[in-house]
Amino acid sequence: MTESSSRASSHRFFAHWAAFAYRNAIWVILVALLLAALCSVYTVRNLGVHTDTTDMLSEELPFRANDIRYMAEFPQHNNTILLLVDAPTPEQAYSTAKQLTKTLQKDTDNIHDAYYLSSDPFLERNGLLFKTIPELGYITDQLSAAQPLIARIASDPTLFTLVTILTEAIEELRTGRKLELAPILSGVSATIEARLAGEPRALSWQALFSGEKQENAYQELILVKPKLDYSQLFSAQQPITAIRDAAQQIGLTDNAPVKLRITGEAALAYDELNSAMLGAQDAGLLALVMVAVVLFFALKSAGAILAVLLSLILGIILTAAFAAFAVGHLNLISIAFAVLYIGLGVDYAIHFLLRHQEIKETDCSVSDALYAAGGDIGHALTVCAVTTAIGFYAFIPTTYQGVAELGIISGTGMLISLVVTLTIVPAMQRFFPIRKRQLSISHGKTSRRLLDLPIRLRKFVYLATLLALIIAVIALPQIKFDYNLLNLNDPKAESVETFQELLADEKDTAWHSVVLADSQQEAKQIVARLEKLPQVDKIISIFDLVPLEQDEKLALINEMALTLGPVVFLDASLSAGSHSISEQRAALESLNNSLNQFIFEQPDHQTAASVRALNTALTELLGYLDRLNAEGVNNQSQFLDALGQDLLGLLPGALERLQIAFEAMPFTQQDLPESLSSHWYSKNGVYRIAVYPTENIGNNDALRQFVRAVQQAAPQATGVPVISLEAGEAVVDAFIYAFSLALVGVILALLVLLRSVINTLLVLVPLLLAALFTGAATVLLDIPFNFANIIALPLLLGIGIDCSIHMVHRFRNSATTSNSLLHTSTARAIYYSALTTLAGFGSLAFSPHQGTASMGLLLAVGVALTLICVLIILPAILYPLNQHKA
Amino acid sequence: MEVNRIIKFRLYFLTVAFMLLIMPLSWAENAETDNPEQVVSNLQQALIQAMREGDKMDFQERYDFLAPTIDQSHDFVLIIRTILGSYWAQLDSEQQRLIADTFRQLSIATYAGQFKEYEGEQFEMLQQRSLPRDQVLVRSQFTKSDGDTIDFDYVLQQGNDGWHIINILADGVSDLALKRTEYRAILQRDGFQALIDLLKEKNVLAEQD
Repeated sequence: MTESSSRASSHRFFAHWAAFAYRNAIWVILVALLLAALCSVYTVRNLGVHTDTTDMLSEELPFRANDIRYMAEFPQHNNTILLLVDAPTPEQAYSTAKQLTKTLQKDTDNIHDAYYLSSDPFLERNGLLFKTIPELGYITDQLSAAQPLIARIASDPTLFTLVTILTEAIEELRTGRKLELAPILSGVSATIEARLAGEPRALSWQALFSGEKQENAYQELILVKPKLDYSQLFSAQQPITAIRDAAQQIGLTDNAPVKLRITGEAALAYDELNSAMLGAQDAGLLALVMVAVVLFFALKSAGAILAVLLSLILGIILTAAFAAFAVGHLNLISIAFAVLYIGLGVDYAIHFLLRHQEIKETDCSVSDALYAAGGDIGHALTVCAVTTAIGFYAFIPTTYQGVAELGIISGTGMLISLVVTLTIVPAMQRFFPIRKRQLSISHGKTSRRLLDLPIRLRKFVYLATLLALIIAVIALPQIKFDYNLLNLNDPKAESVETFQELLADEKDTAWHSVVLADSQQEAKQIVARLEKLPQVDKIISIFDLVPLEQDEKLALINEMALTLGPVVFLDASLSAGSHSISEQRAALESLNNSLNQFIFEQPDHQTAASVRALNTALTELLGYLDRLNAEGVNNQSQFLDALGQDLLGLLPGALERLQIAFEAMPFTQQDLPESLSSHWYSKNGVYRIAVYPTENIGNNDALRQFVRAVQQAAPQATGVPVISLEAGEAVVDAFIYAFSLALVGVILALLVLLRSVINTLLVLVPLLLAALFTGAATVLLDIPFNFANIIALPLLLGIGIDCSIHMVHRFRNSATTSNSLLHTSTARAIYYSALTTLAGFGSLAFSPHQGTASMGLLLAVGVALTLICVLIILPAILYPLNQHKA
Repeated sequence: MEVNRIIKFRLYFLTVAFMLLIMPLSWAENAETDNPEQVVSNLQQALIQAMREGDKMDFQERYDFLAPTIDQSHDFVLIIRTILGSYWAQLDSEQQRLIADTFRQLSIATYAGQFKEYEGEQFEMLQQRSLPRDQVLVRSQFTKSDGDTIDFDYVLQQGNDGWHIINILADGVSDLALKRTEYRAILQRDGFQALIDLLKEKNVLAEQD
């Protein structure tokens, strides 16, 4: 069979097919609707969704094996939620975190376990042993200085007593005694100022005892292991709602001074999916409108648009049913088949309709025009569909299961699209025949001139292409892949903001590597090796849970306890109201007088600054009390009670916690309670070593250096940094492999289908140029590849293949020369189908989910560049072939 | 009878053995350091007696009278070690001996200087309770001649030779805390010799009171 005879027979076949569908339109459509209904039911019953992203990579990859082993040994660290409690004082942060942890532990429906390190009874008792020897001495010094004050407040915990003691202390200072009063004076004045400003903030005695300046915020971390329901799309929804409810319950309302923020793996995944869905929803609506507008400009007929949409919906339903049948589930990548299908399926229908319309211009009947269009476009679409399908099927052998499944589903989807287009579009012509084109619009003089430009300026096109090629080749090596999963997420989401903050925190960064060791000896060797690395900041293992120099420290703790003495607090409620307002005011005034005198006598004293500050605060306070007095006595007493509570409310708790810590006992690794040791030493005797980076590994270079260095010292390392780097590389490898196979598959398919080396080359040139330019554009426009936008590449590949084939097919199989190629329905169809893709997916660029947005952007850039390659560069390349053709 | 003799001997032996068992206890009771409350009570009795005989004794006589009881009831080395904290380990043994001795003298002198007149003051034992780390708290109240009261709480710890006072809280204010703040500030600023000089100076002042 010669080339022309085979083409003639395929032309007849598709022509008959189109004519048949047109003749039996009612039956065709009824059968299609029935099929759609059946497939919908089947899909709903059989197609699941897997949202766990890590499972998508092959378990045989070494890093996956390491991770699986880690999760098996320490399941409590898998898919956790991290709660951050922010409070103005360390006491409030601690007590709230403790209370929240207790509440969550009771909620066994939604929470496996909640763990707050500092409230572990073992650590509460032995916490002081983790301080250094100088720190312990310092705390004892601070406690000694505060002890007389504490003792007197304990027996009468009132504002009156505090003020009286301060007055005495200032009097002592006036006599020349050395007293370190600056910290307490500053603390008291700051607390008074805060209450006066209407933003009350309790005085932290814990901060005073440890000699720290009271910071504006204190933070505690709670680790929550939620019960995730993977049958739900939002698997963490229930636990997160439960946590928010629990927080409300214990008074963490929006206007409370203590705040709760939720982050961690599971919360990030939740926000990721949430923002991606919301973004897709908004983009979907926008896309629908935009696509309809583009289609209307292209087809000028509501009926034709209906035909396109109907074939699109039918095709998606059939493909989804195929996915349910062949794979059984969708994952976060293969769900993109819908994206691919919409992007490419519309194009097929547009090509068919515009060719049909073009033929109809010659004033033949609808059925004759359909017969001719079916014959013409059927062959071209088959070449497109088969080539694209082979391109997608080439993804199947990759190690990235998500991509492999996408390949199966989308490849088949292309074939389904072909059949649906060739059947439904002609059938719909029976009911909604497309109108004739109004020639004036695209046959106007200016547009004609415009369309001739690529040929007239072909020398310029060659030059520009060459230049662009050089730039692209130079830029290409700098193509980057952004491994940071956080960069995909909605940067405004609470979990993301919080996590970024934790990442930047030098003290306790949220991302660390984990190394497992099978024996104590191995663990110690690994720690020794890791300690030498400059990329490693600190290493934590179970050995760090057993403090050194315990005997010396216990002696110091004993000293501390002895010095403080057995302080017993009188119940604050018993002494409430024991001092009248006038007594309290007199005490305040007397303190203020002492302060005034001190400032007058010793203006240059080292304590003078804090004395002045308190003087100012007290003067304001007394003025405020005067104003309250004018309003009524009750207000004054309420205000003073509240102020007393601000100043003294946290003292008993702080002392109680300290006294528990005085009961520290010497301990060894064997004495550690399971609640503590199970995080570091598994039931099977495996040691967990946490390795913290020196630099912020939100930066990709720092991430790579850190992970590689750790892997060098401990090849079995795992944890989020390792997984994101390794998964990123696995995905990149999988895509390079898939695209190499796809290229080979496409070339072979083209050689077989087009039966010409030249034609194959002509299809490949714009395709490869577009790929090259798109790669270079990611560098020049700073849109690095990432786990999300890489999904756009198969679609770009499909569009590139289809457009090139259509143009070359039209050029080779009709009397069209390169000069008039751009005036054909094929060029128009390419233009409009590219526009629909832009309209459909360009809107994704506005998604709050950064991954989705970068996908939209990449698609827009890629489609625009493909258009340039196919509609400007390709005709210029085809020009020299005109003579040959003649 | 041989048998009777043996039984008699055995009874005698048992009695002696029993006595021997009892003896150390009663001797210890005589020394009065086996019971924390007794230790405090001994001290307080001695102080009351020193006050009662205030006009019969001069300062040095009162000092000599109180010294044995105070020495027995206080663990001065432990007290000064706790006050000095990390500085203690930095001193050589000669310096440690010097500071402990100076501190002991000052403590006794302070008692001798303050408890010298009697106007019906009295101590009353309130309560004894155990504290963590095998320490005991003995709570007592001192009633002054004008009827005002001061709570004196003693923290005691058992050493090799019985119970010793290691901290005293007057109305809750810890003596160790007061002294630690004062002594360490001097050590930090002016060094060891300055602290010794200060303690000696205070010693002289106590006598003049």
